[in-house]
Amino acid sequence: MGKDGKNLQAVAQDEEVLRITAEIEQAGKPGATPLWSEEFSASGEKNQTM
Amino acid sequence: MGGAASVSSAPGSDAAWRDDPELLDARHRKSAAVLVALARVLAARRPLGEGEDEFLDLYRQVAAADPAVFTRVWTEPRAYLWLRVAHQLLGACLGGAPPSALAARAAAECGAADAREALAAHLEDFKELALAVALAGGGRLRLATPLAARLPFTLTGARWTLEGAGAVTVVGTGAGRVDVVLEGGERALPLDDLAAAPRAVGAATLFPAPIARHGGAELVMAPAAFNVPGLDIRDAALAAGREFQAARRGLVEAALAAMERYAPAGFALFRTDMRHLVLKRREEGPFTNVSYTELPGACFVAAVARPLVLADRLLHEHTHNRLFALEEGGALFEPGSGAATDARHYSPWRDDPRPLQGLLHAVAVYLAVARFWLAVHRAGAAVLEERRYAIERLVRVPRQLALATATLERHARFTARGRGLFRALGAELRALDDAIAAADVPPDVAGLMPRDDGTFGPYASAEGGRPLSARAAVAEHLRLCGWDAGA
Repeated sequence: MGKDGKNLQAVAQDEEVLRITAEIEQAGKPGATPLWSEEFSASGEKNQTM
Repeated sequence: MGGAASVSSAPGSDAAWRDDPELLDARHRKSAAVLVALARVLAARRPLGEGEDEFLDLYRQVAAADPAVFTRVWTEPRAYLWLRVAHQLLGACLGGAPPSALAARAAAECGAADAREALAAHLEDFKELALAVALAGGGRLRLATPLAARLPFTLTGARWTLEGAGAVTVVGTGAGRVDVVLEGGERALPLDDLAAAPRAVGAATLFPAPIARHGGAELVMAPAAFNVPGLDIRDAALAAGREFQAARRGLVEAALAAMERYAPAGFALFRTDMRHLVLKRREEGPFTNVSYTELPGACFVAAVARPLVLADRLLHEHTHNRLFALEEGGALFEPGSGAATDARHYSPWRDDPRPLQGLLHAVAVYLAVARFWLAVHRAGAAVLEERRYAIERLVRVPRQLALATATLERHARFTARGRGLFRALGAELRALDDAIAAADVPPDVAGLMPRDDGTFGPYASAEGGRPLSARAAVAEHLRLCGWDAGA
């Protein structure tokens, strides 16, 4: 990312990328750790009385 | 005694989330890392056979881009949305992980028969991001196979929209131009000097995107930026359209000015965090006002012709955006507790039962909104009806906050992080109550509801329509929703 002055090629071997790669490989399998936890996606209102 | 500013950093774990100017940056850094990982897994596992090849070629070009150029595009809400859906669909291909509702809608919309087809269609959309990076960097990119896009169309991070009926085929970019096929012929979209006037491009028209500016904040108001599959607010945004935005740009700028005046710390963060606002008509779409965790830096808000009320809504949606970013740093509720999905709790702001995570969002948001109205009240707004509405908010909202926090206290299974945040919010609420008590706010006032035209009407009882006081409105809502306090 720009703030770090690195492009994506430069971060390809970073520990975080390697960890995320492993997590994606394990997605959906028993015991896998999701990259994003169970989420509350949209925070909205619909013509509420309050 | 806690004033508006002094209650914004209550002690406790994650208390700094209200003030941290880099809170959203972590989401973008993570999403960039996930992009690298996605490309690596696609190259290694080849879930689409050779169907990933064009994506991988484009990815290599994006990965080699100047970091500042890449960051400019990748920190756009639409890039983050693409990444999240791509991650979901790849997970569905590899391990059968169920996609999110948004990813499932995107897959259904493109007519995909299975996860592989959905992933293939989604990877096709990466062309748009690769074009955006190329254009932002001033470089040339010629797609191996063109991108078929719907009108209205824009590139991520661009400040123009191409409008008209039907579709457009995008074939590449050059210095300051996008090459498209319209009506059978290739044309270059003339992006230079667009601010001067719209340009006809065949039967389509190229417009500058409306941009609201105030005090260093810039909000692009381009519904076309959200013309993407699966987004449930898309049709409402597109129905409002560009002209609806352009006609209200001054209103938004006045709302930003109000935010700067009455919530200066919040405005300073808003200026950093928020890039896109789409105004919509109240009655259109599944939500009146909404933010999405998959679209950091964007919000969709029902237009209201009163800058102070619009500022309230912008502050509200901005706070959701910041809480989404905080949530990305780690779970606030125990995994599997159903806090995100189990909609069975009373909300003093909604007629339908809500999940606890939504209630936590509401508490964080309405604390910020109440502080805004306290500042309006203290300053003595120039207009009588605004002064009345500020007081009404200061009577009604703290009671709603007390109900919501009681429900969370009783039912939530927080993680250590979540408990720390909840304690910090509790401290904010106590400080707010103290500040309101010291601010000559009467114990009760006539309930008010803002109308779309900017006027304020009486809060009408759901039983017969008689006007209710602010306190009676809270009590009636609780009773009619069939809940006891703390349920």
